Amino acid sequence: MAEIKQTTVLIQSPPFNRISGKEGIDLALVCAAFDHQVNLVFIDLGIFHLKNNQLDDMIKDKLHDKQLNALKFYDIENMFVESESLQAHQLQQKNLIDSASLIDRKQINQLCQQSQHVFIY
Amino acid sequence: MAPIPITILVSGSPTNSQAHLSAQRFVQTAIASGHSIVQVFFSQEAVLVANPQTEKPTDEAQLAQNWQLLAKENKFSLDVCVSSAERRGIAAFCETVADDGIHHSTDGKFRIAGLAHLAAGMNQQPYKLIHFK
Repeated sequence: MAEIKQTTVLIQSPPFNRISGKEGIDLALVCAAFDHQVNLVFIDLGIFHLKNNQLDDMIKDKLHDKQLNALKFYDIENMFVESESLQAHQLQQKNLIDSASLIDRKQINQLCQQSQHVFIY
Repeated sequence: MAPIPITILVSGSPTNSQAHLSAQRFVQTAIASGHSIVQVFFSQEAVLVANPQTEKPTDEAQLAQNWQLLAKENKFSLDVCVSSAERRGIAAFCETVADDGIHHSTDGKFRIAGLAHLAAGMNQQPYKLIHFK
């Protein structure tokens, strides 16, 4: 195998009205298992995957904040959230789980440019 | 230009998107232009195309049959994502593949495969992935 592949997975769909986000995270995990360097990026309504203080009692479904916080143990170290999307929904980084770093749209564009593969979920 | 081996990822619904029709046209054109298709990988809603209990009116596009015909003629695999298929109740209708991550069966049947079958291919060089959603 040649150089390390960089794969960017953009999650733009919200957590509870479709399962795309969950399936995107599944793909990110498998790519990481195959030694790709994975950038997992949350944009638009996808940022709500990262919201902290969610109560699973209220939704009666599995929340995946615990899974997202554990991704670094599965070789996904680069987890990002788009700052413009946060502003659009009047959220701040303190409203999110700890593991996501803030980047702006321009930096996301660069990530996509330097990646061999880009997926949007 | 040297021919590039191409993997097709289809994730759009067979009933509510144009993904399958477009993907099939792309496959035909790519092959006609001298490229080779290695694998068609179905994930998310696209796995529903592998449900043998689906019956479409005969004067509409027969997506499943078209895939099988294309795959058999051009020797590529039709890999159905297992986790997507299980969520949507069709995993039991597909035959299984040897789970070695690289094995491709080319007999024109839909086979259950893991996301690993997609990710393993992505490490190859040269490689082109085209996504229809």
